[in-house]
Amino acid sequence: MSSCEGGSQSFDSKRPVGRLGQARLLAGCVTAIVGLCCNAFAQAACSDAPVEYQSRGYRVNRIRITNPFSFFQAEKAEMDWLKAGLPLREGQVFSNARYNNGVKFISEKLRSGIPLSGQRFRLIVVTAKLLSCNSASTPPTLDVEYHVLTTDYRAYSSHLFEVKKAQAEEPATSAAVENTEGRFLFKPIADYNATTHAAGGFKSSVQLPNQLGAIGADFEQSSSSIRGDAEYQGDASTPYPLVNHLTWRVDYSYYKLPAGAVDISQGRVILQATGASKPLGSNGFILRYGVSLEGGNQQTTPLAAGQNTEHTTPGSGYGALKSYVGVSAPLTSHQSLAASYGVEFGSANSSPQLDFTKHLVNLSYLGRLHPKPSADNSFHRMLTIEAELAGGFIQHSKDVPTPERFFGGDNTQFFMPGDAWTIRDGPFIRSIPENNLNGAQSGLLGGASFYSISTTWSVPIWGRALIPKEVTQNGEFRKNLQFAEGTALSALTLFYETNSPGLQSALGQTQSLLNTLDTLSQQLSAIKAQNPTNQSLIAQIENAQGDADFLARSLKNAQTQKGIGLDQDVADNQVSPLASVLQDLDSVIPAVSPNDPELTTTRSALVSAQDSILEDLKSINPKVAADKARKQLNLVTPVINELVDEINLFSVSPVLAVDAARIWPDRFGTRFGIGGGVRFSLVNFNVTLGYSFNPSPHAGEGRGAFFFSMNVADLFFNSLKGN
Amino acid sequence: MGCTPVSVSFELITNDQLTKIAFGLDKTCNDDGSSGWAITFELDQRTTPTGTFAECLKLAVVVNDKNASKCEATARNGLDTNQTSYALGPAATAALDYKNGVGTLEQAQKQAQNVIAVRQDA
Repeated sequence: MSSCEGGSQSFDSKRPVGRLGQARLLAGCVTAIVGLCCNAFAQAACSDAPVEYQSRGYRVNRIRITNPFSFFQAEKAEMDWLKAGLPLREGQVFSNARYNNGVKFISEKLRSGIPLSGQRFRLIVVTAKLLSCNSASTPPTLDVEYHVLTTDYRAYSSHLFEVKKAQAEEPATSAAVENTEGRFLFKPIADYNATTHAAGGFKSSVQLPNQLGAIGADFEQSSSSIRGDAEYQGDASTPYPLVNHLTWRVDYSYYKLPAGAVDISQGRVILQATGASKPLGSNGFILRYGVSLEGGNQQTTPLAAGQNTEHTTPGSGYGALKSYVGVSAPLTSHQSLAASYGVEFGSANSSPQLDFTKHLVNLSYLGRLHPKPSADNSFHRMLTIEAELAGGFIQHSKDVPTPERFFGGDNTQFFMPGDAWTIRDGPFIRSIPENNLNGAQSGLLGGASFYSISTTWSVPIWGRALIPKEVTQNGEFRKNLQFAEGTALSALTLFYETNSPGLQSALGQTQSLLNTLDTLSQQLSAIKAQNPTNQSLIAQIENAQGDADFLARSLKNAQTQKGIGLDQDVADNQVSPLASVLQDLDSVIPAVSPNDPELTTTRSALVSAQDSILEDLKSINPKVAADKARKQLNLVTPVINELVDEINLFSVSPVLAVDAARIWPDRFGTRFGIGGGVRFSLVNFNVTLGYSFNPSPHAGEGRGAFFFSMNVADLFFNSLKGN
Repeated sequence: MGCTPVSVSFELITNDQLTKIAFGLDKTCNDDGSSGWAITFELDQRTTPTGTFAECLKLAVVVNDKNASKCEATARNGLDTNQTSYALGPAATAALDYKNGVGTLEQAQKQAQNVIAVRQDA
């Protein structure tokens, strides 16, 4: 098997995950997918309505709460915790009401038990079904399965990917680590690829308390390679749009890797600072930037006889000042683009002199095109295209450290080691093992310039939609979705209207109305006392008093809600509380008016207060608040639409991989890679594996190589743009 | 299987981290074989991005199909601003009155029905 790194890259996940992470995550993903398949087919669903089983006295044999993310330990623990509180218990007689309430219980517990702090969006879907209904047993039994789907997207990682990357690399631990102080991680790693052969080592890190960052050390060795580094990393967020997130690293790294007939090695100390802006502009583009100061040494051994070492330094000191700027932005609702430029000013010795300058560009494209449901509506089909164009050249006035030249293959070095935003520092081609596109056939040792293009095409052919089809195909679901959106728009509009001067002025007049109601109540009490035997009048008065008291309470409620509800308390219609009071008085006044003109005066005062408040309320421009509410809801609606119409819980897709790359100077020209494979996707986490053929192999390149990649796609990169 | 209970909940924190919006859709399978949907809308706020959210308003509405045009329009498009205001104002007051023993169930039901009656566009 060839390199496990490289392969297709998603936008914000341009950096391949670590090899250990790949192995563990693949295992976890396969387990999850197998689990899903088993869950889907191992147990037959019960065919009758749930209430039928209740009436037949079925007992609950087993209750399960399943979650496709259960291979995350935190998720599994959460599900186990939820099961203990379910209204329905194993061994009990089946109750349809408790079965239904279990769905609500789980949904509420997940919402209230897992704070949304730091996260931007979350979907929780809970469904339930009955399985393994066994009428032959005594008593008859059944199993209950609650299926839970949740998505957590942090505000930061909606567009940036450090957190998601960490989750991909550490599926069993990252969820817990994020909220844990002083967490220590250590894990052995094992790996194989055609260039380095079998390798083993470890990764370790300590999360420092009080958000002071993390220190870590990694080491991996094979018979032909060594990689190791030790680092401290910290990060911080700021309220400034251009400096939304900052990361700093101090790192010592060393590697020795085969590159054709030679070994190249480099040891260096790196001081690095990188940052990202908030989404900017109307299309929500994000700026990335970074600077790095590096120093160390490099060696190349052994040099082959006749190796052209012009403009190369087999062994030397090394120093560099690097900087980059990048941007990621949505193009359309389903397409996104990322671009980067990096420049390095380097020295081949310990003195701060300029020996060479390196320029690098990266352009990446991600498109999810033509989404449509599968024939049986069980999953969503769409063409996913990932493309990357990379290129670079070295201006070398003097010597160039060999590792700084361009070496290509199915894994490349990255311009800023350790940085989450990645810029390739060499040509990427999946049909040639790591470092084996190096110009050796032309007597060279690495290239002075390069370009590479890689494209990956995939279409799901099997899977399951994230929102179950029994939900989305139910007309009630979409109807109620529209209901929810419409209601939310109204509620938000009212909420934003509370800041309007008109509503505040109307609220200011509420006390006067309350005082008038108090007067009215006293007057009605007096009339009641004066007519103790007139039962008909007393009934009318008590009705009016009740309505007046209710209006007073409702007005006080409006005061506590900053005016929400006030317009309906005093509305000039047939049903408002004030209208009811006026109607009551219209019945009472004819009976007492000749003897009590004050009641007529009080009614006039009520109407006057009503007119004044309504006049203030008319000054509110509803469009301003409605526009603001609509803007907020524009965050939600596209996300819901994507979830309902485009996102799969899991899917399997054939993959076509087409690559081209070359370095200069090299007399054999452009190399190609044409391959196929398969992609397993679990919501937005993709594992892709396949084989890429080299149609015209040259010495040392081989006929092809396996490729394997994992990435986390940003599902809502366009839906959340600009927010 | 005739009916599948479902609970769908959407939550979203706005860019300033101060407001949280939540939708909830709950489908219940009733003992008589019918199904019903209940919808909740919740708005929470906090004063600082790291503070604790406090509930500002919460709507819980049971959707029942009725023939009245206002009810149909409500089921189709959601509560309009009049209805939402009424639900949060007089109807909420009546519900609280009943809960606190101050008002009657009839009064609470009447005010709840008025939520449909005050719709503007039908």
